[in-house]
Parts: sequence; C-alpha cells; structure tokens
Amino acid sequence: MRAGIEHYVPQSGPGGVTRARAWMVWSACAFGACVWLGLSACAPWARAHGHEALATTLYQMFGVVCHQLPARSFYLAGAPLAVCARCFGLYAGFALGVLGYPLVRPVRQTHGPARRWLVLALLPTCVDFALGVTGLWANTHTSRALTGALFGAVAACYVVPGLVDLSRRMWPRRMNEYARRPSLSTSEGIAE
Amino acid sequence: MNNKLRPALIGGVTLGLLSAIPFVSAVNMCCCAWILMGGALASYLYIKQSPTPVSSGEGAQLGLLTGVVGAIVLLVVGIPLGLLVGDATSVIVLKFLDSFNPQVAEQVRQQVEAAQHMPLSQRLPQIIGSSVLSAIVTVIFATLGGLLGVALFEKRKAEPGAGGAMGVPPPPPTGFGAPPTTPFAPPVQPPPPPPQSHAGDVDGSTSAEQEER
Repeated sequence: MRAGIEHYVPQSGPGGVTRARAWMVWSACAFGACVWLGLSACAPWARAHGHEALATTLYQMFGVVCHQLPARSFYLAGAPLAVCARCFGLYAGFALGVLGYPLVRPVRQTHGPARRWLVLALLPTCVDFALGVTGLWANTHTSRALTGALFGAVAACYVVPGLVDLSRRMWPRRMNEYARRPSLSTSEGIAE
Repeated sequence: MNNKLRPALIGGVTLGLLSAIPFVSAVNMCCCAWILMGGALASYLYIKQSPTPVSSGEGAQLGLLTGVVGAIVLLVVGIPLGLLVGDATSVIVLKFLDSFNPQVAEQVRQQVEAAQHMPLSQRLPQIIGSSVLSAIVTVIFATLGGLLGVALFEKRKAEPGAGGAMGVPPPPPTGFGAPPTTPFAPPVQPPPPPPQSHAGDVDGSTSAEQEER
C-alpha cells in the first residue's frame, strides 16, 4: 500500500529543524557566549593570582577586538578586564539575551524579529559614543556598559535563529530520520 | 563560480586587508568593526544579486565564508607586514598614547621594548600565535557580521513556504499517492480503433446490410 498524501516529505528544501537540534544550537550558543564573557573577566583574576602567562594570552586575544584602555574598563582584583566597559556590556547583554531567548521566542524559529528593533537597539550606543566623542557629554562606564548591553541582548534575538537556520542548511535532516518514523517504516505503520 | 563565493571573496579580501594594514586596522579595536563590516558587506552584495529573500542562515553561511577568506588574507598579509613595519608602527602609537595617557604609554613602551629585544626566533611564534587567535576571532565575528547584515539589509519578506520550521512545505508532485506502476514499463498506448468494415454487428455485417436483410 502506498503512503498517503499527508506523509509527503518535500525534497527541494533543506527541511525543518527538529526540536532537539534547535535546543542543541541554542545550548552551544549560550555556552560560547558565557565562556567568552567569562574569559574577559578571567584575565584580571589570572593576573592577580600569579598566572601571568594565562593573563597575557587572554589580554592578547581580546586585544584583537578591543582597545583595552584601562581608563575605560571595569576593574577586577585590581586589574582591568580584558575588554572595555562597552564591550563588556555588549558581551554580557548578548549572553543574557541568549540565555533568556527561549522565554521570548520559540527556539525552533529560523527568522529574526523585524530589523527596526536592531536599529533601535543600536541607537543608544551610537548616541552615547557620539556625545562622548564630540565632548557634549562625558559618558561613564555605566552608560557605555548599559547601552552596549541593550544592543547585545537584542542582537542575540537575531543571532540564535540565524545559527539555527545555519545548522539546518549545513547539516540537513537525513532521509533515514523520516524512515525511522513508525508510520513510514513498516507497512503496518502505514495501515495505521 | 558559486553565487555565494563572489560576495564572500569581496568581503573577505576587504576585511583582511583593512585589518592587516597598520593604523587602518585600529578601527577593529571598536568591537571588530572591520570584521563585522566585512561580513555585512558580503551579505549586502549577496542580497543585491539574489532574486529571492535571503534568510539569516544564508547570511551566517556567507559570514563564515567571508571570515575564512579574511583570516587567510590576514595571515598572508598581516604577518609579513607586522614583521616589516611593526616597530615603526609602535613608535607612532606610543607618541599618540603619550599625548592621551602617559601612564598607559609607559606600560606599552616597556612591553614594546621587551618585545624588540627578543630574538626573531622567539618573536615569530608569538606573532604566529596572535595571528592564529586573530584568525579565529575573525571567523566568529564575520559570521555575526553576515547574520546581522541580513537582518539590516534584507527588506523583502520570506514567503511562508520558504522551508523554515514554521513554513508550509511545497505541494507534492502530481501523481503522488497514485497506484504503483511497473518501473521502466513502456508507455501504454491506446488500443487501435477497430476497422470500419467490422464496426457493426458481431457477425461482421454493417447496419446497411442488416437493413437490406
């Protein structure tokens, strides 16, 4: 007996995202974001506890992405963090955004929110930066970190669905995943 | 050429060169601006040439490709440039830092002097190590740039049947669910029409003959 029309599986696209895979991508993203944030805070701790080689490596690594000016950085254990206050806020906001993402949107979603939210979230950072550069207002560690955190948290809502979609495209569901379904694997299942 | 490769090459070479050239690369200190822009540039170029809406996953894929190309360019161009003009660059950076923050300048000067007194055999692994770290960071941030680029530049909305998790799948092909046919069977031809002379009765006589009877 042939399968019914309701069992048709489209062959043209990469297929949908399983719940397990979406959660796996989210977990990897959350782990990566937390590790990245932790490493930036780990550098001064390592220096304070005499692990100079580790501290130097971390400072060097984050030196690629940040100016690391001590005057613009938060301090921990008497040493500046490996990134400036704005970058730290950005990474902290991103980590929080990724962790809180399942509460806001379904993890299996492969499309981000409307782009106006991204532009709106970027606005405070730009205003804070522009006011500081022009000298109209002396921005503080808190203002830099908070505006960065807002953008980081909103950016997470675009990054997570993008990575879920990326996983769908790079590792499409194999046909044997469908074959494992009881309703398709045997003729008895089809009869059901 | 793959339609994703061209934008990725343009974005990757742009970000690699801008990140390798001394002073120009300083923009990267602002949250990897060149790298993010390289990924976003690739997304923008791809969106411009694509007839269908580009998804965020495609943007991430593009960003990843751009990051790999950029990292290769950064390694190939950045290491020789660092060895050639690194010392001259650090002198100018120190002058700039002196006017900005003398305390920080002093710390940096000590680090630079320690590095300059190091023999090349010790310096080279350090340069290669930091370049490899830069390459990894480049790939990660370019992927994010590609992703955010799609979010910023893609104005078209994806069709509901585009294949997302919530998307409606395309319709099945015609004949799906029909009774099975023998594979490789010759096409079934309609039976030939019966000859005109035998079109009438069972015994072969036509209707005119029957009337005559």
